[in-house]
Amino acid sequence: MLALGLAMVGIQFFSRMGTDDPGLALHATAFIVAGGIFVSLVAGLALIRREQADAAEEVFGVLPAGPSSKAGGKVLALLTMVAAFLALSLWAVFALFAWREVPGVFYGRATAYLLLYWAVPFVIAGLIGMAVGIWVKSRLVYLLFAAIWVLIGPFNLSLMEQAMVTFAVDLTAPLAWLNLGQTDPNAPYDPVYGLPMEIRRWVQKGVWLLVAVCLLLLALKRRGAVLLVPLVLAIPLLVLYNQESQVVNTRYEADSVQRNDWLYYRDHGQPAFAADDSYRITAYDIDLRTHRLLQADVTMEVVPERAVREIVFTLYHQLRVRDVKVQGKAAAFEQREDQVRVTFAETVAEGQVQNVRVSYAGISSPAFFANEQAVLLPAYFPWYPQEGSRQAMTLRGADLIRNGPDELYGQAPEREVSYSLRYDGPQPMYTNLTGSGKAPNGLTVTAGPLTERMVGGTRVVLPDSFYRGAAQVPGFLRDQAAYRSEIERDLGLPEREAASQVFFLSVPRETVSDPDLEWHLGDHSIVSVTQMFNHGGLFADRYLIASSALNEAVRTPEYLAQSGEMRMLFQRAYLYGYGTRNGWYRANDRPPLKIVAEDDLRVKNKEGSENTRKLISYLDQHMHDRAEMQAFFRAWLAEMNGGTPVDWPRMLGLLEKK
Amino acid sequence: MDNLIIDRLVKKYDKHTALNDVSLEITPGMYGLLGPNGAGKTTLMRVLTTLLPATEGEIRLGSVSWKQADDVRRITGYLPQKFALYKHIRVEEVLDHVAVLKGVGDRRREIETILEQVNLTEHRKKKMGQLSGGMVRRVGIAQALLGDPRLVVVDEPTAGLDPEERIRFRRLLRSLGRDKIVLISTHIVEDIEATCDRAAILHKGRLVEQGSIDRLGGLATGKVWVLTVPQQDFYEVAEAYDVIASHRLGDRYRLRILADTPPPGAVCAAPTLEDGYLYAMRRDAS
Repeated sequence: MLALGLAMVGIQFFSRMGTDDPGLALHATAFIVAGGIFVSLVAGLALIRREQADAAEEVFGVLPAGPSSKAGGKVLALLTMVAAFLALSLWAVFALFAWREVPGVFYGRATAYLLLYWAVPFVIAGLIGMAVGIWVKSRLVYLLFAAIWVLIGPFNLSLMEQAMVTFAVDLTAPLAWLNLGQTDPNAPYDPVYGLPMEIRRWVQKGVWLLVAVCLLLLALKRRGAVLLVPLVLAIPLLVLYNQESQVVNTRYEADSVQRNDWLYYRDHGQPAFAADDSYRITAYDIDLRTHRLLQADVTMEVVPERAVREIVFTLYHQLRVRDVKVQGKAAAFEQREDQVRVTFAETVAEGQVQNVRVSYAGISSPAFFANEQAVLLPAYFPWYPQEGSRQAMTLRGADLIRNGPDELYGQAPEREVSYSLRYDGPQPMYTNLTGSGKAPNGLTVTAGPLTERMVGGTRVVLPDSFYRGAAQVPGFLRDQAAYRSEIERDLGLPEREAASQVFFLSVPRETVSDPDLEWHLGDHSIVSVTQMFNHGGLFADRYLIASSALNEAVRTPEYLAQSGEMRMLFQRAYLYGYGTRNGWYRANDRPPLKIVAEDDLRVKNKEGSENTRKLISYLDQHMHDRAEMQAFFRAWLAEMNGGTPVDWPRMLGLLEKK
Repeated sequence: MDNLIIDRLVKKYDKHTALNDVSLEITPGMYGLLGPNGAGKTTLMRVLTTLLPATEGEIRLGSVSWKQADDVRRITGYLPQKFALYKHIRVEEVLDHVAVLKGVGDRRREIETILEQVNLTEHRKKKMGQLSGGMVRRVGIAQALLGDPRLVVVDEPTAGLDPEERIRFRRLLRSLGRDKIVLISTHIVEDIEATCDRAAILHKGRLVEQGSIDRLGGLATGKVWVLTVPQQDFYEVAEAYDVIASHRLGDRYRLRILADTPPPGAVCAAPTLEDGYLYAMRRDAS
């Protein structure tokens, strides 16, 4: 059994390490955990029934402290078995890590992960197996084990999903608590968040462990003082467990990354208070603490641009304001949706600077987490009070747009603001705030398994887990700058300087149709990455980089108001010309624009296919006439920015003019 | 040395009374518990070894009361009827394991002494799974003797042993009762007869008789008859009388009959313990 288990462990780790994903090598082991839990249940039973099988139960039953000594010995035997399996598994992981040159920091993380999600659950399952084995003497015990295995295994939600639908009950919360394995066995490894090992998950396992010990003691008929020990120990753990804290779930629970904000903004699309442009914030003093949840005291210099009695600012709704002080005195406030309205004691005259201190705490968005493990607070997310009255996110069709209603870097003011930042949370912290103490488009704060390096003159912050992909970063930055420059020239857009700081972060892409790989925030840019960037050359994917640069360059409210189909057509058409001119495609390649035409034909959209072919024909004909191409795409972009929807007839009209 | 006092012991399982007002005073030496299946022997053994709590009554040995199970376990050794222990480990390892759990001080010396006593010294390195049934029982006795218990309880000591092993094991048991109380529970009368000085007879949870082996055998004095009959008359006589034993002698049978009056042609025989036991059973049943 041990050999079989280890063989599976080895194969699993080997297959994942082939893609240079040390995080997923550990993450994607739910089936091993599931198998291990069942084996541990049976091992617990076998241990407890050992004397029964060897007709020795009564011999030890009449010895002084015999039953408890034997039980203690069996628990030690269980611990030894689990420790041996853990040690051998770690040996397999470490050997593969060494072979694939994984950084040293992953060794410690792998140990902690396997302890939390393998060793502790196996011990708990073994103890439960012992207790059930004492209580149930018949073969019914195996049926019980099957039921227990379903409930406490990492697949419990998946296995119970149909039952929940059939009986219309939502057991997500209790099942998540019962789950001894990782909450979502299919979750990809998050390069910024790292492995899911928040305090609460450890505490949950601790409570479980004590419950299992209690069950065993009860089964052994040990009552009184002995039983009190785990019960008493459980009290502080339960208190700790019930502390408010952010646990990032990646499945489809209501509080998961995928659904939490989506569900909220589906029902809360509009701000609670009207837009407020009556003031400006010129300076922030931020005291940020991230321990299990986000806590902050933010003092702002508010400059009224006309006489005001109240101001409205934007703050993510789950960050609950505790108190507001204006000029050191408590002020009335009202927090609704993503807005906070502060009422001054009396009308404040234009230009009369007000010192507004806001204290708040809460659980951040699951997409923009901030807890004891990692922090990911991009500047465009209102994790601190920002000017204006907007919803932090908005739904466009089925897509959740997380960087504000106009997708233009959210609520950032796009002008220099002074910041001072004190931070207490997982180390090290990385921010775009430099020595000047000023930033033009807000403050990005991130912490977790990240590292920092200089690439040429650019400060780069990227995940520890990008130990292979990091080598491609200089080429990526060079290509990105070149594409941006050429795109700006072609489309007649104002040239922008490359950001002096680049953060490679696992911020969510907004839509499927626009590969928003990059958010350019003036002093810094954020590049959305996944762990796949460590393997497979995504950093060198010309199409991905160029299309991202294009989307980033043309992003305006008017452009984004166009249909996804037309935006995609523009992007593919431009890159078709751009790529062909630069020799990206070989004879048999199928550039995305041609795929559109073929797909249209396949779904019997003959007209659409025909239109696309006309476009391709035009582009093929004028490919090498740079001036012609520039004029065509500038005209098309002007149409897209014209404020009225661009459709095929208008698009074809452009072609005919040419 | 103290006597084991069992005073008005009652053990009930829900509505079923397994032991009903049993009182015994057991002196040091070998003591037998006789009775058919269901008589309450095993229940009494399990109460004496603290595996089961008594419903009513009291048990004590000197200052040790059975109300304190841990105290009792320190002075008790037990060989259950089903005994095998871990088949994959050696004899001396088994004994060492039990000695650790019993808190024996000088384990090595005591194990050597006991192995000598049960004549297993040369088999000490053998694994339990390699031993014959008789040897396993001897290991069982050895583990029961570890820690020098004042009370040794042996349940069905010769069950499953071949005749030769049975004789050897009885000899071993006989040697134990010099300085401790050894309680043997069995339905095999020969075991008691061969090893014990005194015995008690249980039937349906009640104490039917107790006393020396001679006294118990003597219960059937004048009631045991020997009759020799031709082969063809065997079934006719067996139907007419309470035949408690028969031996074939060529084409004839020699029958041992329990009866108040002598069957025609029968001669009176000296009673054995088995005769006394069977007589007590019949008497109690009627």
